[in-house]
Amino acid sequence: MTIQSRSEILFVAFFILAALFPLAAGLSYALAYSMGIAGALGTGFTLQYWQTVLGHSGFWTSAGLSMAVAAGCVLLSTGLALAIVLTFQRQLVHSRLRFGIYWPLAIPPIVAAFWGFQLLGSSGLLARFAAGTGLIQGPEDFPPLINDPGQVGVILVLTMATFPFFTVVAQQFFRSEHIPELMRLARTLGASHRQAVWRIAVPVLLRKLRPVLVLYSVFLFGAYEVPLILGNQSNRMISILIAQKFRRFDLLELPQAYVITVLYALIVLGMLIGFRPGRETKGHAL
Amino acid sequence: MKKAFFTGLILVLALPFVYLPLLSLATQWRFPLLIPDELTLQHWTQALSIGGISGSLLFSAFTALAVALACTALGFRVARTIARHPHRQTLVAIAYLPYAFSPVIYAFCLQFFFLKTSLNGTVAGVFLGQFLIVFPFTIILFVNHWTPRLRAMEELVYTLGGTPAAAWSRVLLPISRPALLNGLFQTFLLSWFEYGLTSVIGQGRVPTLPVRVYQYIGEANPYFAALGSTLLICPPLLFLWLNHRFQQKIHA
Repeated sequence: MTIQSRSEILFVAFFILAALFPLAAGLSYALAYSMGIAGALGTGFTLQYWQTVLGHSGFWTSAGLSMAVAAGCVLLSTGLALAIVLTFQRQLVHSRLRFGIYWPLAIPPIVAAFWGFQLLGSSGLLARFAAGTGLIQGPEDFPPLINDPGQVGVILVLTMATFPFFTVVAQQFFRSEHIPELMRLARTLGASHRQAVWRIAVPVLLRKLRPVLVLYSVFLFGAYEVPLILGNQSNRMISILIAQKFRRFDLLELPQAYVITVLYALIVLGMLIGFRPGRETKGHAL
Repeated sequence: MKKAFFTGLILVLALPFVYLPLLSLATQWRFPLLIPDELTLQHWTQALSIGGISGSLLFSAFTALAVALACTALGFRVARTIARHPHRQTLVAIAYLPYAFSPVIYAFCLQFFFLKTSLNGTVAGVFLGQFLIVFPFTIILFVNHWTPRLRAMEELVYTLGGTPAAAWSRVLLPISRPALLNGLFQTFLLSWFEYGLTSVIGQGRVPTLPVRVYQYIGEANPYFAALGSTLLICPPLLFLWLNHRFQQKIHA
């Protein structure tokens, strides 16, 4: 074995050690703890914690809510991004203000959550505008958009944080996939503008955006900072549910926290394996 | 008409960058006022002198820089091996796992091991925790950079009698400068933005800027939270602008 090939093996080993081993070890420990094999409460193999979690509506509600929030945000962000790219193409290429579309990428999730609180709260900026225009008389008249059971505030803020990134990526694909040329060709062949948009630009962009949409669905499913500050505490997203169970003083909740962690990992793995965001998209539209 | 709508959209996107600094300068901002009564530097002088925010700022910058440098350097080299590996697809899929996992949940999974190794609540623990998230991301970022063309260029150096050191210093690193800068910028931001894992592994004893901002939000101190938020959004905004200018220069 040459020195070079030995060093290549070492690099792969280091990668496995840093990328896979900690996660695998953490999840193995979580699985063992959830089955009573490891940890302070380990009294031998049992499935009682799994039965408790799976038989209780808490986990299912949280998982369903997280999926709905992730799907809602991805749908809204995709719609907004495509609308912006297809409507403001000239501005995105030539306007002096085009750099503004990148600005929200500079906002960390914790700041986005705080900004959402300041914007959507009952005495926030939107409520002040509403009061200024005479739509409401006081903060109590403003509809609850934060800590609401429908998670409207969470969806709005996560969408505000996500759609600029989708826009930037969609704009890159718009150019790299030669969509203007394809649309011109379609128009030459007799298609209307609407047909060129809906039957060429949108399908091509959606196909190219697919890995990003899958990855963001996974990220948003496990979103933490925004639901922590703006979410409803009785109707919790899955990351909040897990964090709350881990942070409770009641040690008996710990095995349940580990059960939900393993279930979360299975859902994420399922999404990643099912949709394979890392799969390289072969071929171009042209 | 479209131009006006686009301008409106950009103004809406710019709103937090105006509102948050303004809130940090306000002494009182009562409902329903749209702009504060009075603007002073009172909160800034208070926060920077007794609030410990300057310490958090320096600490966050130091941590983010250390994580960015370590991950970019290692990720760049390891990505080269993975790009040429027969099981490239599987290894890249592995790189997605920790990156896609919610950092806070990942941190709870790792907490037991960090406790056993006394890394919980330490700066080294936070650095290691962030490294475990950011390093796999650099593989995703750099693996497509190592193209067959780059390999052919490297092999040309060897054919012409060059050493591996010469290939790196004369060809690979100079040609990869934009990718490396982009990697440094993105990894710095990942660490700079990180809250969930840091709050679990750091246990509140490692006060990075996002941890400090959350603390102020919890204390119902919007002025200090706005101040911390302003400090958090400034460096990324500057990097975005520099990156934008750099990309424009490349494409010009």
